[in-house]
Amino acid sequence: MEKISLKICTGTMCYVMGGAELRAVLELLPDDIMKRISVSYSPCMGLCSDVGEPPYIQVNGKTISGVSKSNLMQILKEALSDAVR
Amino acid sequence: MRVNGDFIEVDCCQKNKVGHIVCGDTFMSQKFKEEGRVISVLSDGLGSGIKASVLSTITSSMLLNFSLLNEDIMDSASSVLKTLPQDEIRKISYSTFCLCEIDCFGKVRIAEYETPSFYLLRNGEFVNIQKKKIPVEREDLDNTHLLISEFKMQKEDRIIFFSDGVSQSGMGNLNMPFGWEEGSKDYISMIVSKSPDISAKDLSRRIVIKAEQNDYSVLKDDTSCCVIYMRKPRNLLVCTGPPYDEKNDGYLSNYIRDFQGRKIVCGGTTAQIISRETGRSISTDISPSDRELPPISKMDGVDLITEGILTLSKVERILSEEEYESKNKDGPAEKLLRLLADSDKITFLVGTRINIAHQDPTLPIELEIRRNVVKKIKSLLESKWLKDVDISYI
Repeated sequence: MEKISLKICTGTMCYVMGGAELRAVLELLPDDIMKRISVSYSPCMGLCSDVGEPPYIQVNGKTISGVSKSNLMQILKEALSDAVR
Repeated sequence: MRVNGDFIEVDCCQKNKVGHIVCGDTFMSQKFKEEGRVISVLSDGLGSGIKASVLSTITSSMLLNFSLLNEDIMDSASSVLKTLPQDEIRKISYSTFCLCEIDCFGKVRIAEYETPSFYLLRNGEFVNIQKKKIPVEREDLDNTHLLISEFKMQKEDRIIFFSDGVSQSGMGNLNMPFGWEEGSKDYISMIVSKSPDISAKDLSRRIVIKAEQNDYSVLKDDTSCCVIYMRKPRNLLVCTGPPYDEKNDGYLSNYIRDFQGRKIVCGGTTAQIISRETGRSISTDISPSDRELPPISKMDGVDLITEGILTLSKVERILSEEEYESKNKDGPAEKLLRLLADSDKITFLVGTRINIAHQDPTLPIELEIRRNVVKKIKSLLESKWLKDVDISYI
């Protein structure tokens, strides 16, 4: 099964605005789901002065802003079901 | 402090007599940057505990303040000696001391009063320095005198002085019935021959720990050891923040490439600029070392990459604390502090471009201005760790 790529920005703004908690969410996910996600981190994606709100993530190269603990689950669910299709 | 291009590292390790919450020995050291002088004082108060601590603190601070006023070391020492009160029962003065002054030409003057003799270690050998005995007149104390030594410090020289907690450690044991006075020389020689570059900080710790072992981990007296080491400076560059003008991005990356010494980058954007300019990739370490701070990243040619302002603020916070008990030994701030501690000449290259996103007043925490945090760190490194610190702006 194809893996989805998830990149999380750990720059100052993203980290302060909730990015720090995203790492904790991933630790709660079961192993069989985590096996399908390739997680990487970036010291800064340089997006915080653009339109949108930190924290930023990239799922399969697509930038998503204003990610929170709750909507990260939804984002991952959608990305995983898209990958199955 | 630098003398003729060489750096003088001063460090002292102390351990309290078993069961005491304060150390009866006091160590103070200050560098006078403008004059290029370094003054270090170790004083041992009579007895132990709070009384000894107060006495030794008074003695050390008086000696340091006299020296601050550019008083001759002998005058300062004899003035203090004349004012030291006498113990009613034992008929000896309340505290002993060793005062060491090194001027900008490397000339050393040491005044000792009733303290174990200092050692000068040069090229692996202990050098005997002729001492002048200067009598000090005091009606209530017989035969009171100061010992004054003068010599020129050379590169790689180490001056070691300690309280009698070190020299009398192990006294009465079968293998060292008269204490550790002579044995300590063999031990220091052995350590330095095994690690010729050992820092003043590490050597002073090794000596105190060995003294503690001599007493079977139950120290019978307050134990302090000071080491002064003159050597080639270990350079460290800390780059933080992107340059004001983007045209200088290349300059920043070349500066880091050409710098002789260890290199730290604090800031995600700064790290990305260097990665872009050099074509080297960055990988971010995901192991959770410190939940308060964003993780560390890695790149070839740079010793440490951390986040910027949050990490620097934590470094500043730890530095300003009297005693810091680290919970995350591998946290970004702790790693940065370790590199700062292991360096003598530290250069901060601060980018002055303002990150507009950081200026948002609705942010949940206060983000300090980078320049202010770096200035505070500089001042703390200079006053607490006697480091030689420069800040440049780009």
